[in-house]
Amino acid sequence: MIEQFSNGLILGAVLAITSLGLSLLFSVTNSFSFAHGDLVTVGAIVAVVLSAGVGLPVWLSILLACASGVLLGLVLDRVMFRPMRRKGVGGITLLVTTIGLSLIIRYVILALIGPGPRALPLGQQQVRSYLGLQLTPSAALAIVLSVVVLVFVGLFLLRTPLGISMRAVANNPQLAMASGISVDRVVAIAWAMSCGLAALGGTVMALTQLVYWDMGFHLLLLIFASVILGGLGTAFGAMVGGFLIGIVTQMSVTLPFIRDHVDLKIAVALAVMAIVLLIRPQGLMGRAVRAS
Amino acid sequence: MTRQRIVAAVIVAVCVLWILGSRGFGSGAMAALLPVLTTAGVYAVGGVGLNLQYGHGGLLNFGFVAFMTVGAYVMVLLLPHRSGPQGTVSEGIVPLPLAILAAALAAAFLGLLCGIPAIRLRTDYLAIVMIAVAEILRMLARDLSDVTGGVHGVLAYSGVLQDLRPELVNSLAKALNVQAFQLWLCVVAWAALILLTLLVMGLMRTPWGLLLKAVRDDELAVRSLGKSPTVLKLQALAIGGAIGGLAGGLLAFQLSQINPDVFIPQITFFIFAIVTLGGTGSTWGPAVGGVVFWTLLTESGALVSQVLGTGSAASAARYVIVGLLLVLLINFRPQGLLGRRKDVVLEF
Repeated sequence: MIEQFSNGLILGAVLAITSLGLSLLFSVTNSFSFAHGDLVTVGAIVAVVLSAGVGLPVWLSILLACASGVLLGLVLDRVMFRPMRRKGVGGITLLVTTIGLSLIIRYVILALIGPGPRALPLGQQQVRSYLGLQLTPSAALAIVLSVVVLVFVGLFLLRTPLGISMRAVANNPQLAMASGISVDRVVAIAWAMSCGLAALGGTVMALTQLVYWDMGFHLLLLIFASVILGGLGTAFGAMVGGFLIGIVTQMSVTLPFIRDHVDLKIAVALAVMAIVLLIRPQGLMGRAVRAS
Repeated sequence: MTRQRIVAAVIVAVCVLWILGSRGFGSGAMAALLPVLTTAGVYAVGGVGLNLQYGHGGLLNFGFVAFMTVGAYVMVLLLPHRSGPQGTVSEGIVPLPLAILAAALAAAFLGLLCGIPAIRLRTDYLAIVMIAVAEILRMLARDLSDVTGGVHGVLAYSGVLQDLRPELVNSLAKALNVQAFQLWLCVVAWAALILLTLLVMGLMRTPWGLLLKAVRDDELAVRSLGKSPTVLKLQALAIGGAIGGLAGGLLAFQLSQINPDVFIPQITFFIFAIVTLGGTGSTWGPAVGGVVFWTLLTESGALVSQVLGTGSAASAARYVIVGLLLVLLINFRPQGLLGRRKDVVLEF
């Protein structure tokens, strides 16, 4: 039980970070990105290649992986999404574009690193007890890192002028523009933050498990579930939703039927999402808006 | 409109000639063309279903493969088959026509089941709920191995279809120097495609079809006329789902054995690309899109593997091409080859 809870906490940390990224993006662009999962893979792969391949220390390669995520976000916004915004396209066009983008990123990764699993050079890991949780040292580090980043992003959104202008754009883009906020700049920052957070989530995964070319894509559904559970476009909802979905997913392994069919744990998480959608379509922390 | 059709016909002809030409128009060329045409036909049937939901009804569904999973499994499990690690032999429960009907009905039922909770929510919620359903179904098929054979899958069910092969197909196959079962599959897939396309064409000319398009274009207007958009959307989801179930059955016959890993989310995106390429909301778009898409995929895959060898890099390149195709099409020609720009819904 404790073991499953600890695993749930790890998955929850990954989901909280990545769905925070997706939620920030959704709040300013009003659209999902299907490429979000594959950006998670990018972060993990960059960290593994830099540390195991090039030989940099692990902490430095994690830092560089996050930086590469931020950079990729800025480039994507500049090259793909800003021109699309200028043309006034949105909605389904944007969604399908991100599907195309996700296929491109995923299979470029497959072509570059092949189908086999990779790992960070962490050495032998022993499970130890931290505050009653059963974790390896790198997993404990991953959870602490995630919580610190979540707190900082939260403070950024609540306290800094940039964070406040970001929430303003999310709330009402026209009004924000009229009060002198550069929407283009805010959206660019949202892309950078969302991709950076995705890459960070990837490195947290790399700290605790093997890295595959399509691991982010498999995570994507759980990220969607966390974002929707927490409430679309709410930063703090996404954090709560991420931890909830992560813990529910891993704890469900102890349920009678799921115990023999471990793959179904994801189905349990998705079922939780579906039930929440039925009862509370706006999510746990979302505001009720009439759905059209 | 007519110019558009001529251009589309020319492009399809070029595709066929490209495949034949890449094998030097020799005796092997026909044998290379058949599997591509069959796959194109099967996916285009799926495209007809998705086109009804997305093109005509404006329903965003990124889990279309769920209908194909249900259709394929319901059909093969009702037919005589072998399944599981030991290849356990099962007697057929019903004859082929009934199995096909059951596949379509089961898929339609799935449409209702998913639609009733999700259809009143935001458009993109339905898309995400459907992806989730598709993945849950795939995992269930993998885990309920007593019924579905698990990862070992189901096989040896194609006999029922091949028993129906007329003598004409046999002699034609001999004349063309291709395998008779392959030709029969191709004929069945395209017959189903043409039949279903005509069916949907007729359906869209009825008052029901016009109303469905009206829901897509302006839901409020339909509501103000006293019609229920929710009911219409549900019907479209169910009918499109039934066609998806048939496409799943055809895919099962074409592959001659199925396992859960056949029904990966990529299939949905392939069909999405086919519908977009052919023209969202157009009648013959899925058929045209199917041929063009699979020609591009097969032939570009062949070209890439000449450059990169036959490793995972070459097979990955095919998917990169699909991704690029989607991005470029939706941004620069959202109406595809045969569509009209006003039929394409691009806003939520």
